[in-house]
Amino acid sequence: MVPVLLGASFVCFLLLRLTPVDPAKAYLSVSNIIPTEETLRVVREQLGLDRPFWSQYVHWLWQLCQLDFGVSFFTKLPVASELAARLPVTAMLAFSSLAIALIVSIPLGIAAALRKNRAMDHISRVLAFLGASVPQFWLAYLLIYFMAVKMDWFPLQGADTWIHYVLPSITLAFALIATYSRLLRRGLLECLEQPFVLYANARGLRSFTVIGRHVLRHAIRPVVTAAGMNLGKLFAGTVIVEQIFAMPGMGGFFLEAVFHRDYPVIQGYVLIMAFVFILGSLTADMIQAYLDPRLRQSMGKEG
Amino acid sequence: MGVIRNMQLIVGRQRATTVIPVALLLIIVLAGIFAPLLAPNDPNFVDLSHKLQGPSAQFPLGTDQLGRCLLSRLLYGTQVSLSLALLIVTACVSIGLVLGSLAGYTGGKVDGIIMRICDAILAIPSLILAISLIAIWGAGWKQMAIALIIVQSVYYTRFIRGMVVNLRQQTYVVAARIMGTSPVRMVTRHIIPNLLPSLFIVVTLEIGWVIMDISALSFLGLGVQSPTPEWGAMINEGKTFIRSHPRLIIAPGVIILCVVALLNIIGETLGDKNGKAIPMRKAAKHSNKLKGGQHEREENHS
Amino acid sequence: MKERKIILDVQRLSISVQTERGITQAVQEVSFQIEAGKVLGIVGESGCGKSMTCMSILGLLPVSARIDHGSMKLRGQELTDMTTNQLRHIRGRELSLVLQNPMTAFNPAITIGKQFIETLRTHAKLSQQRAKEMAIDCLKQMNLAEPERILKQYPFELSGGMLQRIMIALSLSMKPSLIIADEPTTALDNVNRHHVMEAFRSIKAAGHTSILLVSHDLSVIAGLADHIMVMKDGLIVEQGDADRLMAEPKHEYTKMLWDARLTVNSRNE
Repeated sequence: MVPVLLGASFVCFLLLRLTPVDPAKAYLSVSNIIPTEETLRVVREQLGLDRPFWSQYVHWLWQLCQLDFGVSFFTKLPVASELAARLPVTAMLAFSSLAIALIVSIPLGIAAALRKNRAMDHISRVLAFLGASVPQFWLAYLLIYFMAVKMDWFPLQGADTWIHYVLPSITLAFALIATYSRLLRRGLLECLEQPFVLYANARGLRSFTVIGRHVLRHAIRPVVTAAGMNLGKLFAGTVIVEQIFAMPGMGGFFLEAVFHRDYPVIQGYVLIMAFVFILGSLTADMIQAYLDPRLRQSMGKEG
Repeated sequence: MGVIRNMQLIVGRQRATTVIPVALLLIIVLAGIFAPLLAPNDPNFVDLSHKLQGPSAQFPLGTDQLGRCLLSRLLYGTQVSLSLALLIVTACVSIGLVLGSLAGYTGGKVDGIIMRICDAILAIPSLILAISLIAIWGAGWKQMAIALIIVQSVYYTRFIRGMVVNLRQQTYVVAARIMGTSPVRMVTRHIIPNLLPSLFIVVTLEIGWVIMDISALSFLGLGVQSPTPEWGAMINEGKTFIRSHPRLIIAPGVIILCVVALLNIIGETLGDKNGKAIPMRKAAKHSNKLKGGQHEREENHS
Repeated sequence: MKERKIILDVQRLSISVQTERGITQAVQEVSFQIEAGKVLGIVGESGCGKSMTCMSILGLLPVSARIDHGSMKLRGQELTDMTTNQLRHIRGRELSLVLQNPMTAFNPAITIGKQFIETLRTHAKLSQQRAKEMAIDCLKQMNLAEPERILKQYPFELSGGMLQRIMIALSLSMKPSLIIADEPTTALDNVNRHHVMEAFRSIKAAGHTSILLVSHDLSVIAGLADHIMVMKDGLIVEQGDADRLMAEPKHEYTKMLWDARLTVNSRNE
């Protein structure tokens, strides 16, 4: 985990150095100060750009450990606090999307598996195709058009109450539902062939118990893995969705930073995303271990 | 050659679900190629007197906010998106083949280094990384293309590397090695041709994703710049008129949906028949921590 | 002349299976009876239809298989007429199953205790505590040491032999009329096979439960069966009293089986 994080941080650091535009000049232009020799020199010193490459990197890492992500070129406030202030909205959005996705895909996957090759199965297949093929930003506008503009059921923008989160969450959940329901279906079908399912039925357990208690915890594992790995895609989605629905979250802030060439913010956001992804994978692994005790054994052995 | 026979094996069965989508896709591709002939008007011709009109004889799908013909823009947009997607995917596959084979076949330190780099890059969500690169280089289709190439080739590298590692252990490969074939020849003549069927399936699916990425980035204003017609950019321009003229948003989106859906159908049908298709975005991120390997053969987005 | 009670009465059972090559008759016109407290052993090679017969009694035939006609009566009740729910009530309570491979029969992700207790609580109104006590009693009756500890363990933490005895204990827990044992010793080594045979012998001695024992291991059949039924290709070749059949087999096929002395050791399992 740590080496990946370090590697990602290096990539991040490199990002800024790849720019053809001198960061110092960018800073000045954003602040509306005319770049002269003098001002450039001051800024360079301020940003630590006059030091050798590796020294900059180490210094930067050290700052990161102290949770100092630098100062935004645009707002002049610490990046860390700016991002932290907007975190709740994004977290809420991501969480509710995931929740909706699971609530819909689990019954859908079960129905598709149990009624294999019948109506429900085909419906879920079509839904899955749509989910994988529809552009998220377009779906957002479709929902806006039909639900907000025509029906006036939902607000168009903002993030004040829970209603504001409905349309954005559905937008993000759609693609997830597509993947998860099919994964669950496949996992269930494989699982239902297992001998322990036969034995569970032979013991006279109710179907509900067999599926809910015995089969589900095995069949859901690919979904857990997928969820962990798709976390990154989910956050990429929040960037677009937050902009469309004008929600004051981290994603929207990142996008603004992109347009303003606010490099510290960009850097900070990318780094946080890498961290979130790794956290997501770890969590997924832990859930896997909980679901299957055999993994706990092998994980213990690896140390 | 064996490659062609392999391909035939893939496509041969289940003609119905492959032929119809392929035919439809071909129609769209041809429409794009022959856009100059098919388009009723110049897609970039601005005429404010005709702005925001509904469908008519002159403008079969109506006009946008600058009086440009919607249908013509959609047709030319097909050219833009498909050629960009093809460009990006070709570059990615090439890079992936080179680096992936290098890593997979050589093994050892080289493999380790390449994989570590891939891991580090993969830790950052691809779209966000792409946006960041564009932020640094500035908006434009060239920058977007390079950004997407960088981000996507990592997946291909990982995926191909995995397959090469597998193939390397096959008996006929070992036999050829014993006979003293040089590594380069090994890779080009023995390993890569056997990769191609699976790669083909995966590429079919990935082109769809690339098209979505291109449209998403252009929608954000970071990719294809106006006045060049691009579906995502068109949706961006049309969004202000959602109440009055939803047509401006709906039409481009429908096209994206159709193209990507067709590609997905084709890709999944091919994959089903062979059980080989591993969704790249999943396989690539499934690093060495794969438990038991039973989920290696995971299925597609659907 | 004592009238022995008939626990299981199967008449002209016929099962067909849909395969890639078309429909095959897996079981044809099979008729037999099992008396109370007795053991019926079914012998035959793989694919002779013995497992299908067992599964059909339990109502757990695979989707590709179908009962064409025939009747199966458990204590006078017709099984083929029952709804899925009625069958479910019978399974685990009146009729229980012991499978060949105990390692795969239990859900690897759930403790033995939970799986045992859930079976008990499905069929009887028991509190968690009471069910646990019952489970411990059942395990003790199988001479399993440290039953409380066993309940807390996962299947992969226990050996095949122990799991098999646990499965037998579970099958006895609701005091069924009939236990169906499908190749119960095939996956075990000699020592464990001996333990399992002992367990079945004590069940037989107690006299409350009948056993339908399927095996291709003749030593197991010889050691336990009161009656023997020889099957081949879905048909009954010969059936009758065990001692007589083993001493004087009438049919050619039966003679061949006895001569070949199919044992676990001579087969590559």
